[in-house]
Amino acid sequence: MATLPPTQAPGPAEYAGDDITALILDCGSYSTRAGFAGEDTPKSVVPTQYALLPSGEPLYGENAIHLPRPGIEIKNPYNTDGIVEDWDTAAELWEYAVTSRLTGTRQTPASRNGLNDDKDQNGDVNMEQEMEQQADEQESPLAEYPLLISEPSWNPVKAREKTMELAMEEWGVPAFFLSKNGQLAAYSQGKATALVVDIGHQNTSVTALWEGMVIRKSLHHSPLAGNWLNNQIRTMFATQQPPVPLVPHFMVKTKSAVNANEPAVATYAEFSKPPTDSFRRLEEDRVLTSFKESVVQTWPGPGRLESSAAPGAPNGYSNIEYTRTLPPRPFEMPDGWNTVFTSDRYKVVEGLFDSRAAYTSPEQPAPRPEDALPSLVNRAINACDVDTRPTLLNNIVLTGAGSLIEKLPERLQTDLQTLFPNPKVRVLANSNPVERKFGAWIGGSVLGSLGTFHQMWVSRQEYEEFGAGVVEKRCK
Amino acid sequence: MASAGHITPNMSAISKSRSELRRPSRRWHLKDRRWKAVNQKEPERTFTQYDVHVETPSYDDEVYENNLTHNEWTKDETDYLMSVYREANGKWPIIVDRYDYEGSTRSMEDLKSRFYTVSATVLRLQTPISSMTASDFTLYETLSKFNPKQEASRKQLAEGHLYRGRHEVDEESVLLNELQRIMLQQATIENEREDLRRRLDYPRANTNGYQYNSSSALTQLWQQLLATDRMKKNQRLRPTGHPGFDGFNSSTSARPRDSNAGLDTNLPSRRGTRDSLPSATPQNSLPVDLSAAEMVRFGVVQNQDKLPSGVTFASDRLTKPRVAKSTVQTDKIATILQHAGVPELIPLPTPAVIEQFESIMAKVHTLLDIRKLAEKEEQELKVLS
Repeated sequence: MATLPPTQAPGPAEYAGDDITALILDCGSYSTRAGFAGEDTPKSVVPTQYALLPSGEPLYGENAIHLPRPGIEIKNPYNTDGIVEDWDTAAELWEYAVTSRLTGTRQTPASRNGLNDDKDQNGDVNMEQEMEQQADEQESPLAEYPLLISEPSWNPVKAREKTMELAMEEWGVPAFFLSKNGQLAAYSQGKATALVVDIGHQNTSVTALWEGMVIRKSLHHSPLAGNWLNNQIRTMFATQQPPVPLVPHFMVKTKSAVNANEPAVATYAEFSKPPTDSFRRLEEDRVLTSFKESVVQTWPGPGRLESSAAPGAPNGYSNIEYTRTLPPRPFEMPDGWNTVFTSDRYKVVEGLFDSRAAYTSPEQPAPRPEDALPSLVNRAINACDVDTRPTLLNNIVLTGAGSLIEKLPERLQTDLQTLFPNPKVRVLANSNPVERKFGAWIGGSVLGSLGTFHQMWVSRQEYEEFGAGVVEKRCK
Repeated sequence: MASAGHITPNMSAISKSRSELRRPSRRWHLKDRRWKAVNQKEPERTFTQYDVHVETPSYDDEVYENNLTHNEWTKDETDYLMSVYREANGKWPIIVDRYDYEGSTRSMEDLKSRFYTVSATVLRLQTPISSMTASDFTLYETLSKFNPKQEASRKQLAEGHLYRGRHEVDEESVLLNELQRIMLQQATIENEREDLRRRLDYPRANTNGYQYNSSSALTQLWQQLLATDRMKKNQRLRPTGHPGFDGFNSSTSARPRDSNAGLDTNLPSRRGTRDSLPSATPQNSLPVDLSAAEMVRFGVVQNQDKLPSGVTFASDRLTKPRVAKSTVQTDKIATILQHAGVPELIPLPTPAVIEQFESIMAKVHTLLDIRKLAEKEEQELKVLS
């Protein structure tokens, strides 16, 4: 199959987005993205974390989870490996992601909306019967559209079958397909042959794709991802002299400007019952996200951060000393405390590439050397056939919100080129952050709107005939 | 409002109805509900055209037993290979990735070899080789010529190439740059040379002389001209004596190779022969070995004296000594020679004759001197007496 350049629209015969209107649901451990196939960004982006009230009622959505209510726990239906654990909540959450923004409540058909019915003496219409009928119809808002769900490449068979059952039995979708994250992310870049490096929240995964099909032996994942980076920053803050106070926004009522490194002058919010640790952690993560976006940078290479700057450089003059001479970046905490970060803003990411450079603490053990990004790619490449390797190395697609650290693509490129001096290594990272954040979803949107994909859906009839096991046979 | 009915526009043209389109597919029908104009004709779109699958050779038990048995392959495993091939759409990197038959560790080459053999055999059974179409036969040839060992060693080489070290890559790029530089220089030189040739040869002859711009072409030209020249009576060319240039072994003239042989052949027709020029070889050694008798016979003389420049005739040496400075003296010499019986004209000035003549002349001169002396003595005696 010849691939079109991403700038070129598919021919009218290939495009089927308007004909099929499939729903694309890209579920991650950090956020859940949903939207219709053929669109360029997901209409509905919902955090995967949810708030659990003391009464046991779960609350979903951005607004609900960031409100400091007494005694709420922030939970995640995913485990640390990026696999769904709590299926009931995950199902509700996904349904919420789809129905809250996309499908909504359906309009009552004109034949039954009561406007044309005969009125009784009081000018009223008998609504009860209609309501019952409506309730029947409203039971499955997802029943109208084929559904494409993304999954991590290491998703166990049980979870896949469970997803299929959920879609078919509970939501009653007419057709269903399950596709791997990495595969979809490659499609979003218009690549059918690629090595996808997806840096997510809980996990970083590597997927090799050959002409649209996943090479299974190449699938690897490691926990060095966005969340791990947050913990690195936490450890870095704790080891600074003086330690950096991490105060989330909801704690601060008012603040006033102070000089760098001076104690904050702020009034803090008072809670009769302080929020739980999980809530505080969630809010701290928001601060860390803005820290990652504005301060953290990857050493772009060549060489590691700890290694000597240049062959002729004086003994002991390493890249890290060089970074100290670069202009530092300031960061202000929500309570007004502020300081500048020099080489530390490079050091927190270094662990992604060089496991020995990672910050360690009793809670955070040193990462395994084979989990570092270049090593992951190396393992994936070595699992592929020799003839495919140069092509794959030339088409490395970097995606995932965790990859949005400044200069990270450049560093991956130089590290891999050092690892493979001979073949041409090319790391493709879309410069548009939205396309990297929603890479898998956009790929799903592309795939779902293709006429050629129409043949791939697993239909309801097939599910009824073969059971959930069909997912293993069809969605490879 | 009673008139409402009248102002209601005729909706039939644009009124919409909810239609249920059924989009056929192999596996499922999508109920597609949408608003569309009643009279709008929408072409039925199907996507079944995209429902394509790869074909694998088909065989039954009997065919397998008779033709396809293999020591290392069971029928079950062969069937499994075919099914994996179908699932992977014939993409070998995928096939080898998904192939998992009872923990076998077959390489891609093993799988390819088996698959191609089966394909080729089935193809041959369906259509005998004699009645195959050209494309089928090419396919059959390709399938049956697959060499797993060669493929495996190629892979090994490819792997070695892929994992070359930094310095090897650097070396390669340095070498490539060097080659590039050399070729660029070569091109510059070639251009300059071309330019020079144009300048030298301008105006050019009608016939393209450039067909002789390589040494081999020139040699060929030389041989051609030499061959025609040998047919002619007066030969203008002389073989260089180098068999490589002349194309034959010139035994008649075993002249040592002239250092200018190459140049000599360059423009033979234009410049004429250069043979008239004094030879650079030293005079005291004859190029050809001649016995004394032969030297006499051919009139060859080995002259130790320094020869005067220019052309001299042997007969000069017979006439010149007869002429003295004064006419009296010349007359005297003539009288003596006449008396001695030497004719005015000597028809054949052979070396022996010249030698004889020169000895006579020496005696004549001596005689003349003695006479002069005698006359002087007589004159003195007369004065004294």
